[in-house]
Amino acid sequence: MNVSKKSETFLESLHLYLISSGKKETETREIVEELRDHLTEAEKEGKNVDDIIGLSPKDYMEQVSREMPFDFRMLFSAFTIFVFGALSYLLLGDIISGGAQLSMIQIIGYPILMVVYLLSLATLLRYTSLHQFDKKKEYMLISVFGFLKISLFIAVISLDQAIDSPVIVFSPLGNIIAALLTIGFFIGASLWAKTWIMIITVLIMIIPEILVQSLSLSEEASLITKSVLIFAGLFLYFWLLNRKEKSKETYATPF
Amino acid sequence: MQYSYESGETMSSSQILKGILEGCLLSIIAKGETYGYEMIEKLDHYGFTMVKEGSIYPLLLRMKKQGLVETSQKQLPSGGPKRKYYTITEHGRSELETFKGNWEAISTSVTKLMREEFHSECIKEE
Repeated sequence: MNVSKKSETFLESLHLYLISSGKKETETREIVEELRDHLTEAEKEGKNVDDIIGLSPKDYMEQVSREMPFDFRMLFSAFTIFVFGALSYLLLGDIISGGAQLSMIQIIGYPILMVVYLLSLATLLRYTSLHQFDKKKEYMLISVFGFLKISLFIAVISLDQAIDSPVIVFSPLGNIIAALLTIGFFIGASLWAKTWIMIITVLIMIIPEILVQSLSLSEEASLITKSVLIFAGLFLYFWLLNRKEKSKETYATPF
Repeated sequence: MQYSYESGETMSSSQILKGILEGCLLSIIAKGETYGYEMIEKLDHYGFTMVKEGSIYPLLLRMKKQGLVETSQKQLPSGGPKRKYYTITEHGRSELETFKGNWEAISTSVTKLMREEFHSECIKEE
């Protein structure tokens, strides 16, 4: 059961558009598969995707989207996972390199950053799924988006340094509890999302830190070793992921 | 019979067609469990060639949301991915009865009116 390349592109755009419009993953998959079934049958009889949808792909996607409810639960879970994930990662890094502390600016700033990040990610995905771009423009949009993400982080970090806000310094016991909670969160979230990606990424970031500390190198040498190890680890992991993805041809889920 | 329009809403021919199409889909599903492509073939068979194939899916989504139909995924005997089948619910059946009643009234009136129109044109021509 295969559809033409044009139909496949349309189905992928529809999938991306519905997910980034906050529709339920299961319902999105259902309608995309139903249309795939229809397109397969129709193409056997020589019809093409334009005859079938009748409207422009953009109008058709919007029409389908209007009939599907907005999934607040998914939005809420994605948001919680992003916020706690970022906080957990920051905390775990702090705990390993000495002791955790959080300022009020960080506690308020990072969740706001995540909301802005998620909203702009959804807007970007909706925009790109509705329009056909050449590769050059697509890369440009992605780099602008990457720049936005980095600027947001820099903004929170500079605000944190510029303004004195109350700081919560964790006690030794507090550090242990925080470490257990963050590790628990990573395991829980990975089980929920049925993916190893979070745990592996965290391990790739954390293991060099532990390794470097046990080696008692000079500060400069340890910083360089750490960066090289993290970079190499991430590169290897994403290369492996990419190879696996290419070999089994499934949908790439955003986020 | 009285029709009321919400302010600002214009009833375009495509909206009329959508309402009629929804009634026809209900009637097709009421005849027995079926799936999207088969519905299109049946519609075609009755002469609904003006219906764009893809346009039934937003309608089917809405009908499911309103509880008029239910769906189930079934494995095809030929293997491959599952296919989505539709069946009518009790609520769907009573909605279909309402549609039938409305349609009969509308179509009788429209036919009568159009016939007079046709006659008067014939008389004028004579």
